[in-house]
Amino acid sequence: MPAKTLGPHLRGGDGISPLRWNWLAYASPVRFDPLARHAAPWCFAAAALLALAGLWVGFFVAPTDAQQGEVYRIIFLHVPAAWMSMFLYLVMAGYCALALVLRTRLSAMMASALAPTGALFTFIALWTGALWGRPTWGTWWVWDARLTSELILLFLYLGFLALENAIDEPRRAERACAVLALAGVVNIPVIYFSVQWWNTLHQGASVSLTAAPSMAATMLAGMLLMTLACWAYAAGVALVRVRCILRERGVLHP
Amino acid sequence: MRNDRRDTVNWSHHTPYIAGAFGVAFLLLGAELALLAARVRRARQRR
Amino acid sequence: MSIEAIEQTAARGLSADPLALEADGQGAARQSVTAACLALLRHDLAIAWHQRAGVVASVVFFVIAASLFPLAIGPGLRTLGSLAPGILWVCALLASMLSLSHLFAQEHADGSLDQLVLSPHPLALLVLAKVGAHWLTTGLPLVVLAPALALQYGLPPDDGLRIAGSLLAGTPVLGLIGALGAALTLGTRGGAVLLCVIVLPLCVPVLVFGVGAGLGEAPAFPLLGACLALALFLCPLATAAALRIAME
Repeated sequence: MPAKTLGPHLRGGDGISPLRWNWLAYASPVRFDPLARHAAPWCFAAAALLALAGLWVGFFVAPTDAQQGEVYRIIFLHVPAAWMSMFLYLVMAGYCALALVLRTRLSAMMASALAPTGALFTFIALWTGALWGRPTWGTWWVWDARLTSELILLFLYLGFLALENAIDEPRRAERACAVLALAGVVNIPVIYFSVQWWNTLHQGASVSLTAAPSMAATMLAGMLLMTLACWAYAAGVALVRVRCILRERGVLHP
Repeated sequence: MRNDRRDTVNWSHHTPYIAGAFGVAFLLLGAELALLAARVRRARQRR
Repeated sequence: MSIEAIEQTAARGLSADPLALEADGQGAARQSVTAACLALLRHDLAIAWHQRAGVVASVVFFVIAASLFPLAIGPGLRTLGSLAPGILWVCALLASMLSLSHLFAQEHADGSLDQLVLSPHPLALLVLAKVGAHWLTTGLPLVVLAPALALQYGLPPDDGLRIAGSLLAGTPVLGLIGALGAALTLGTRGGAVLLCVIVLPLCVPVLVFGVGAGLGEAPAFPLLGACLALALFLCPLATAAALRIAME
């Protein structure tokens, strides 16, 4: 379909010709949609394979820890989920920056597609962290710097989702959430630093939950495989979700 | 309260924690996929 | 611009003209930036005076909330004393958030927000003037009341003054961050609760450094000052962008 028969918003933004910038061509929903449709199943397949490999390494190859026993194996889900939660927020903020600067709606929609998955990974990180902490340190929750930062990251995700939900007009919602995500991403280093400082201030008897066992190579391999699995899963889910969003907001027809 | 750190041999009481962690996590991921599938179906029905 | 809003502002003797352009007689183009900001400041302070019940209400909320904690925790003054900076800071934070939800409500209701957004002056500076006026009416009273409430918690007057100092540096930052939230949630369904959900995570560093400063921890006050400097620069710009998005 020749570019000039499409409306301006399908040409990838006001006045930016997709023919001039090759990569920007995929900001056009019409070009992006078939790409997403074909890529998503591959992402899910990769996620399943990587997860199987990662869990196999994590449960059958990595040795039992001398101090923590078997329960340390929770890190094979806790750490990848935590990394993905932070990574997805950064990617979301990146898309929001693109949406504000280039005024491409697809960028904002990708951010909206990533947000629920990012929030879910944050919750999984907190949940697995709690279940790791209970047998090792005796409490369900530890106010250590990393877990507290994860909790605040969850609140940032929830704020993004709440604002998106509250604004009816889709364009305004996209741009308002973009500003909020950027405010959040600028704030994240400050939040992390302040929580670290607060934690060392009130150290007392609290021990860091993330004092993981010294990393054998197999443990690292397992975590890496699981991280890649989570990444592939998030990509697949985001691609499927953004195709739904494109239709819900009327940019593409079902 | 049982001091888990002294129990260096029998780790079997850790199984519920591992099961709970992975189980709930996969349940939630499955729920996300199910909700996404429902959303895809709703989007297709807009035709 | 609703008929009721026009009648209301007229009845109060206030013009729906925050930049005082009619009084100036020169028109928007000839008004200097400082004159515009001062006019906006004066206008907001006048409105706050006419609606002083609302302003007093947010201060009363602060006092009530701070008095709820001893009722919940117990009268032991030693426990309360150690908890006081944290409790007072959280109450100040909540009081600020609740009052910030209608920072732009008046202008949005009577239609003068368009005048502000379209004026030739930098919107960020006008936002700064509005936040300044808001702080003078809601933040400053909290600072003044804090030493009295600290006495209620069994703290010596020095500690109370230190907490007041931390609030003095911190409440403007809360106002600046909250203004961004107010602009983002302008006219939406969620109201003050949505504003809180959005803004409270962003206020965590200010809370942490503010309480640290209240406790007299060494690097906290300069860190709080750094937050203020950063917020003074970034927040009005972001709020201006958010206002333009809301008014599109």
